[in-house]
Amino acid sequence: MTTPDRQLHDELIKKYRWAGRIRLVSFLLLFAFLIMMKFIGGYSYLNPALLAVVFVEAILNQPYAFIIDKVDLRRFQYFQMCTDVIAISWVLYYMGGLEAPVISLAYYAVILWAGVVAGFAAALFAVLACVFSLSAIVLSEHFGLLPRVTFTNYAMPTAQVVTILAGNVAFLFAFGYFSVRSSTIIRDLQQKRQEESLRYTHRLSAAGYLMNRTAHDIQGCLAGIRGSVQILLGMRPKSEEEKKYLVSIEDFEKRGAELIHRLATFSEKPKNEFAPADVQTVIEDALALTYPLARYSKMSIDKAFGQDIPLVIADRAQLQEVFVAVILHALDSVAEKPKGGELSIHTKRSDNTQSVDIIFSDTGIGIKPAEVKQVGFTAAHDIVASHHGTIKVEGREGGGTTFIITLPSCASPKAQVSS
Amino acid sequence: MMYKILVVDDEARIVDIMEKFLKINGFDVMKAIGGEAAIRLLSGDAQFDLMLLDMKMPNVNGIDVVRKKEELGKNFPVLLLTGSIDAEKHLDVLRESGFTFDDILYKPIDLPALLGMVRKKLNIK
Repeated sequence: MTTPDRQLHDELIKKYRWAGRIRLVSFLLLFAFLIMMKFIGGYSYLNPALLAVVFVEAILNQPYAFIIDKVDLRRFQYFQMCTDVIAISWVLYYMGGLEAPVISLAYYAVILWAGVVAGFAAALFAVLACVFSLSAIVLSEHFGLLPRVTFTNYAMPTAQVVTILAGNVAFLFAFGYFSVRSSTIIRDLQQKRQEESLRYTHRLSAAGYLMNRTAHDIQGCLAGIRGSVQILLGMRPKSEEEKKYLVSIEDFEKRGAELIHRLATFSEKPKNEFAPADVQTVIEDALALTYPLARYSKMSIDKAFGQDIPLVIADRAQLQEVFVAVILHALDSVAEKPKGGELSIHTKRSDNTQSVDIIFSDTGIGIKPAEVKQVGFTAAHDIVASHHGTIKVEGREGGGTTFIITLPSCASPKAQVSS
Repeated sequence: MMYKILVVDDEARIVDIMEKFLKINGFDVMKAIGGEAAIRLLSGDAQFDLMLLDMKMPNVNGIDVVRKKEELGKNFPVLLLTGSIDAEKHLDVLRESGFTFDDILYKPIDLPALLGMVRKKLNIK
């Protein structure tokens, strides 16, 4: 499953969990209501069949992990809808059909849920199922096909039953339309948000490509400058001052070339070349790449590299990308603080030398849960995962962020697999 | 009359180059390497006719220097030196201080263009 699919799946499961909780609570309330009715007198609805339905719906029909992991979510949803409609109809029947109109509100919950979570087809299915069950129960009760459960001796004329039923059916359809409509609006908004983030990703990758190609040209220009200046220096400048400016040109050119080289390397397509790498040098490279930003920021950097850190098996370029993303986040986050702040980077090895911990901790404004899902971090997550490592984010809103990246060392069996 | 120009940049060699160039063209030059040094000079007794100011400097940046200068009630004109991307970011702040596009020079700076703008600012024909 790709990352966006995974996210969608996770979100859906989260919705199911919530629905499960709501289901449990509402059926418990219903149960309490039934007990209460029994004890305060009036009509008693407490019978084994009804209780069995309540139990099945509240306890058994939950989105348990072992079910969701095995079956398709869509199928599970249709199954849930069917059992819901059957249960509601059962309860409705036992509570006197049209004499207990409140309970039919539960039908609306099923339709809303179907429309919002699964869309048009599911909503239509839910509406039809509800209409069918409601009509079947009310009509068969009215015409004596089912034993009548009634608490008054009043028998409604057929015309009245049909009118009320038709009104209910119309409402169910209208509600189905409403739920599908609202779900489309929600979906459009979500899609727009996703498209925007995708467009940004495309732009970034186009920018990376351009940067890589342009860097090559700039390096050409710089080579011309370097060559010319070295010829002039070789021709023995007339004065010390002349020499000073020529050396100055050479130095500036070298610095420019170094920066361009770093940018060009960074913007190259990942090659997936895994090799033993020293984490410390990769961090230093990432720091050098972000130096032009860090230099003008109000963020100080504190490095504490542990002793005897084992090598890790890594694609250096990709690992550098992860560190750059984390450093950029720290820069942004610290910039929001008027007095600036600090980024401390330290590395340590785990006790059994099986893995290396790289800890980036900043004193910026912290991280919001939504930010963790942003482009840079999703990529970072994927990269670390492809290195068989983990990345843990500890955000304290307003109080800085800590990223703990753990990578298996060369000594670890996990690393041997990827090498 | 010899005009006195304050040149501010965090890069010592850039300041040297501008100093050399301006001196060749008959200006008196004071150098400040970094924003802190500029503020120290501005707070002193020295009088200037113009300031060439780099926007992007560590710790105390160009905007901080402009603010301090206004606070001190120093009234001479300023030419800002900046990378094009940063200028856009700071344009609103600069407008508040009464700067216009005519006061901004984009890096890498073309020295003859710099000379033209310096002369214009100082009303030298």
